[in-house]
Amino acid sequence: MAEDGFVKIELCMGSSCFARGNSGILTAIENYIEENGLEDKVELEGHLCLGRCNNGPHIAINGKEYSALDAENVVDLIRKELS
Amino acid sequence: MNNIFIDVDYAQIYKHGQKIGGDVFLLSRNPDNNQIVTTLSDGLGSGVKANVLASLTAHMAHKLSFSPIDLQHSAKIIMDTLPVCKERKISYSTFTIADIRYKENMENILVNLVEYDNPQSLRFSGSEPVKWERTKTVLNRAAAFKKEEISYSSFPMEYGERLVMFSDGVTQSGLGKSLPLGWRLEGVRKFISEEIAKDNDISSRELSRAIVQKANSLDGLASKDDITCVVVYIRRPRRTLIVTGPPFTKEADAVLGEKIAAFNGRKIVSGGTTAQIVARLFGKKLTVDLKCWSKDVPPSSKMEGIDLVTEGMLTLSKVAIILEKKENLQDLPDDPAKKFVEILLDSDQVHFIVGTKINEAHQDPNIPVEIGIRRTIIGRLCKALEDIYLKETSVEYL
Repeated sequence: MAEDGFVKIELCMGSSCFARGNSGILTAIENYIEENGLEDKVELEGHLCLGRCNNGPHIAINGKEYSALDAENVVDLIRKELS
Repeated sequence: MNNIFIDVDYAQIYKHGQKIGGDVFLLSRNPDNNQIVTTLSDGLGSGVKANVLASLTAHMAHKLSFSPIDLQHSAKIIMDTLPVCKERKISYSTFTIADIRYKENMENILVNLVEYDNPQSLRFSGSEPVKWERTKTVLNRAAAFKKEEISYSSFPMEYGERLVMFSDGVTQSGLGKSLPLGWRLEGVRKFISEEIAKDNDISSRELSRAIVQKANSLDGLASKDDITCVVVYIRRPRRTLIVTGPPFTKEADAVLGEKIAAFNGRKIVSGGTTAQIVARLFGKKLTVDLKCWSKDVPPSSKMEGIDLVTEGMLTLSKVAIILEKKENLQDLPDDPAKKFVEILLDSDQVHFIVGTKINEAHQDPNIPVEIGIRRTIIGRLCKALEDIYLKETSVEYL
């Protein structure tokens, strides 16, 4: 498990996931980090195709994997992980 | 592909305040004939009238260079055809024609140079100026308003040599301002020699730009005349390899690795899965760079030994659009597509190795059409590179 109040987010940046929504999700996360000054609490990491294209966009938050989320869901999940 | 490349480019600044130039430059590459022709013409006066004179001259000279008519006769035809200026009662424009021929494999490059009333062209071997003999002939046209002398010369060009041609806007820059008699031929020669000494492999694009910018600055950034400069540079081709798509069979992965390792030039890998294959083959680490991306183009990655690693189809189709629309690089976001285009524009020869394995996830109708068929996009890239940017391309499938 991750330490309290720290979130590591991994995003698939393969063509399919990027086109299906991870482009917008990455922007939303970056904006959320900047608006709330969370640079030290959130770590972002991009991945090349993870082979789950069919139900992308694929994302993992503190090791838990999610598929087919939108930007709003992702920001909610980060907020929950941080609280 | 050839091991010699003839790099021809030019730069131009119009007379201050003019929206149209009286200097006209034409370039044709005729690979079927192993011939390149460049024509620079300066029409009497400036603006529209000069442009008409110079365009007529340049196009006639250009067309005649591809015909069997001898150059002296061609020159007479040109002079007799030009319209007469109402004020000055003369028909007049200058020209410099470089007719460059070569054998297969770019060997034995021979230049036939015809000069009429432009400043003398200059030659350099590395940064050393080269002097050469010209044969002068007088036209003796009945209606001529002055003695018309045409210079003709023929010389071979070797690897590392340059031919620089320019209009009098270059040699007369600074006249009466920063320099009493202008920059003059000797000044230009010295400047070019110093520029080459600073960067031995300076491209024709950069060198011609440096010369016209210097001339413009001597004119106090308000050019007194059209300033045009053409550079021909014989050099080794700059090569780039683009690897995109996983090979059709797993066994071919190793072949791909060998081809990448053997390639001499810059290397781009375009495609996430392809990049993972290449990383595995070479035992290198692959990291996604979340600093470099834009809303249309996924991030690039870093891998030792590869100059640029990008996502595949979205990036490639964006690259194709940038090339086809001749978009200005300065206006584009700093994303992998821009880096990709910068490398392409800085290359003379581009070789594609296209993997033919199909990505099933890309057949989903819900994802953007940009994720199209790889071969179609490669075809578009090759066409744009050859037709618009005069690059050499080749494609192999794996």
